[in-house]
Amino acid sequence: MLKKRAILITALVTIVVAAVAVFLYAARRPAAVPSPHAIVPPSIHYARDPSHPVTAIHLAAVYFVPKDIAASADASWRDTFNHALAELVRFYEFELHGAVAITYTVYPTPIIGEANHHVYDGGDTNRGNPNALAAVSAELGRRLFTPGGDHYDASFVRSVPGTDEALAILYEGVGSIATLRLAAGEQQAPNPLYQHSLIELDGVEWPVFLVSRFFLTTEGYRDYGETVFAHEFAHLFGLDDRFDADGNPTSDDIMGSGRFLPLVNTYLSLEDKRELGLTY
Amino acid sequence: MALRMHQSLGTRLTVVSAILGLGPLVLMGMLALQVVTATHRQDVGTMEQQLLRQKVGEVNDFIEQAIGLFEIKIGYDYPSIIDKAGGEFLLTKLLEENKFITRASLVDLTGEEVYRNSRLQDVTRVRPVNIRQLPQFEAAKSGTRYFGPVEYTLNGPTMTMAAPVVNRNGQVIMVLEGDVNLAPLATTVESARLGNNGYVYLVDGAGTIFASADRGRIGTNLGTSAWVRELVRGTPHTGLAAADEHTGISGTDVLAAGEPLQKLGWGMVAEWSRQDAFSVIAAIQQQVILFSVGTILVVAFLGWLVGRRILIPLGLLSRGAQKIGGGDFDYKIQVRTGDELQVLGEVMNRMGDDLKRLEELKAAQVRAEALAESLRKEQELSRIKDEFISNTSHQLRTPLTIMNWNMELIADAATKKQQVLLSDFQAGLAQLNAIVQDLIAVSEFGPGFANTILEPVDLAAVVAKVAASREKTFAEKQLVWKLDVPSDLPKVAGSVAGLALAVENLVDNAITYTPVGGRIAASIIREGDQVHFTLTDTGIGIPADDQKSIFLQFFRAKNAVSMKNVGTGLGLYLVRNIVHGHGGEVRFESAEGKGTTFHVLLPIGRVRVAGGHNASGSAPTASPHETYFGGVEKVAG
Repeated sequence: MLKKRAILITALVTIVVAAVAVFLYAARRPAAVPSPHAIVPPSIHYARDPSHPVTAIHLAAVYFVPKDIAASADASWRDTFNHALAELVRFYEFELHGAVAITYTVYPTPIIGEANHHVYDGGDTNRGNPNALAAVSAELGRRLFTPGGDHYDASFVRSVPGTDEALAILYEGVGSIATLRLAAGEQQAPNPLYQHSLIELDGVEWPVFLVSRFFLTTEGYRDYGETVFAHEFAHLFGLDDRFDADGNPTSDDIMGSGRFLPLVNTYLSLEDKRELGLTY
Repeated sequence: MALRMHQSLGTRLTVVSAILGLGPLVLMGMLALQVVTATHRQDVGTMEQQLLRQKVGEVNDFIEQAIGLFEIKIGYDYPSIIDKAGGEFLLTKLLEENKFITRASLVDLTGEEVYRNSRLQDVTRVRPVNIRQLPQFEAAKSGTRYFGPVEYTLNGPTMTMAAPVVNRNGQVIMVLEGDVNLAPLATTVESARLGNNGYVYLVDGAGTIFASADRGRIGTNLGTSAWVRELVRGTPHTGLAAADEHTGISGTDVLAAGEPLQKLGWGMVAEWSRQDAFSVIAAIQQQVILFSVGTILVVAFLGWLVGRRILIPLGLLSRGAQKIGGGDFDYKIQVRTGDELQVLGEVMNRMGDDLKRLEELKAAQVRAEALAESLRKEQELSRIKDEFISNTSHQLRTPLTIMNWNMELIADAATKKQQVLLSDFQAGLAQLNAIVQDLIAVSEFGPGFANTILEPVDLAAVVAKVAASREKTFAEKQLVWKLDVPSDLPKVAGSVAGLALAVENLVDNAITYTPVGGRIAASIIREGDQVHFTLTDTGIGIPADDQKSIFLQFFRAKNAVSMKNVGTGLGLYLVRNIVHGHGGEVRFESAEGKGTTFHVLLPIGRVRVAGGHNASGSAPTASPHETYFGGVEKVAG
């Protein structure tokens, strides 16, 4: 009896399963086509230099004040500096589609320069003040990055493997300038001081960018001071200015005329992105 | 022996019913689903295309409305450029007219920014620049519209537009360029819906999504997709091609369609998850499957019911057949289906009855055979007994005769005293001789005797002859003998010897048991077709208790035994056998101490005796025979 029942149940189940299979077959969908939208995780390298990829950048941020104007140092420099750094990070993570992780550490106290401001601002301040970049970089290399320096802090200047290091200087003076990283085989930077501003620590080069504190706090730069700060940072990637010697733009992005727009309204052009290895 | 069933009829019926119910259903379901699926696939593609065309129209309207504001035609023959007041007024109105124009500049034909207005910043803090190296200037200066690539800012996508400013004569006198926030396009695509989760997005020339309902997708680049590249190059996707069914940006399988915006180098994509787009089909499919499964189950159940309806009577028939086959012929199959199965059950019941009768007949036959065998053995024993008695009697008679003769010779020569002794001895011999005679008679007229000798017998003569032979005895016992016979007494058919023996026994009994001086009367009359012989004595009579046994072998009534006379107890036994063997009847009435009357009725005319053996002990004749000697013709049966 059980055997008969088993046969009956087996037959019915077989029929039902067959029916369901047939209906599923009838209502079958075409073979799935692989997604055409294969989204490749973005990655970047230094401008025009695919041999040097960049995945993470850490900024050691220092507020540098020439000795003679130490008394007039901005009391709220930390907030100003942190805000500018935070906006910089937000801008580049958005524009570079998260291809690079940018972090920063602000040195807790202003570093008072060993010289007066005219020493640092002794050069052509109309071209961004490369003299200040070189002088301040050299002094910080000695005092901040070298063991025994009066501001030496091993944890602050440590190099993290896999992370490119850079030095961001909020300068209590004039100018905005950065080390222009050159790709292999490229000609020398427009101003040799750009390259001299590199700080080397344990074989690791620390490019430097310097921005006057006035860009961030002065009313006249209110709309685009942080854009200038971010613009200088872009040079660390090797991106060059997109305006001519007269200041006339060849691009509307942050490297060109866009550097005078509020940071939230400017962008990194596709041309610049392509130099970094991005397609969009 | 139990028969092995490979597959029950019910199972077969159930399966066959299910298959028969399923076949057409499956075919219809397949056909319907194929048609509905194909039709719905077309509908989905059509709906996507319609939606895309609508949304592309909205995007184009937005762009045209914006660029239209940049296209300025001065109504009079203006000098080379617009003056300061006019320019500032123009830019102010431009930004007022379209709130998504975030910045605008009037540029002279050398590329110098003459006037600027912006929602984003205080333009007085920005130094005017020369934009002659920028592409929008070149385009607009040459008299064409310019649409820049989509640029991605933290405040949303934006694009640069530019158009020439012409005078009444159509001459380009300036360039008007500016930035337009494309955020409204996000609103445009956000409002596009297909079903529950269908969506639309816009991609720029690099394949980057810049307007999507899912804000998180903005900035996602699809430039590696050939499908997207074809789209932004101007090839529409209808949503009906195989390649249009793929994995969408949401990660689900979608049916996608694309509509290019050629003048902008953009593309608009509609993606509708297949699951949602075909939810109706899935619902139909589910319903069809449920209906089919339900139908199958119902059909199978009905098949099972029908099978059961057939199987129950078949089971009853099967059990009944086993019962009847096992010998239970009284078992009745109770099938009340009113169809052939009931008829079959009734036929099997009748078969059981017939088998029962057959069995009974067989049993009866066995019993009859056993009885016949027993009878045969009894007859054989009786024959052996009769033969023994006959042989023994005949063997005894010869020496008894010799002894009697010799005794007579010895008595003649003996003294008186010896003669007295010899007289007793002679009496003993006589009794022994009588016993032997009875035994001989029994051997001839024993059980089952049927007379086969049909000679005319004058019964009166026979009686008279017997009486005559007993006259000496009558005298010695001073008995009165009377015989009353009519003159026209018919003869009977029979054996003279047998009838004589019967009469002798009756007369001898009357003599023996009638005291001295008694009376013995005999009469013979005709009664119908019988001759009625009556013999009445005044003897000792027969005790009432013994009357039922007097015709048995060797039976002697108590009063007869007490007389101490010699008797074998075979006389009346022989009488009855002889009379019955002649088709007659014998009876008596008697009162102890008063006398006895015997009645013997013998048939006259045709006498038919069936079976039995004749007086000679030979086998009975094979067929009955008839003889008629009287005036009355009647066949005795």
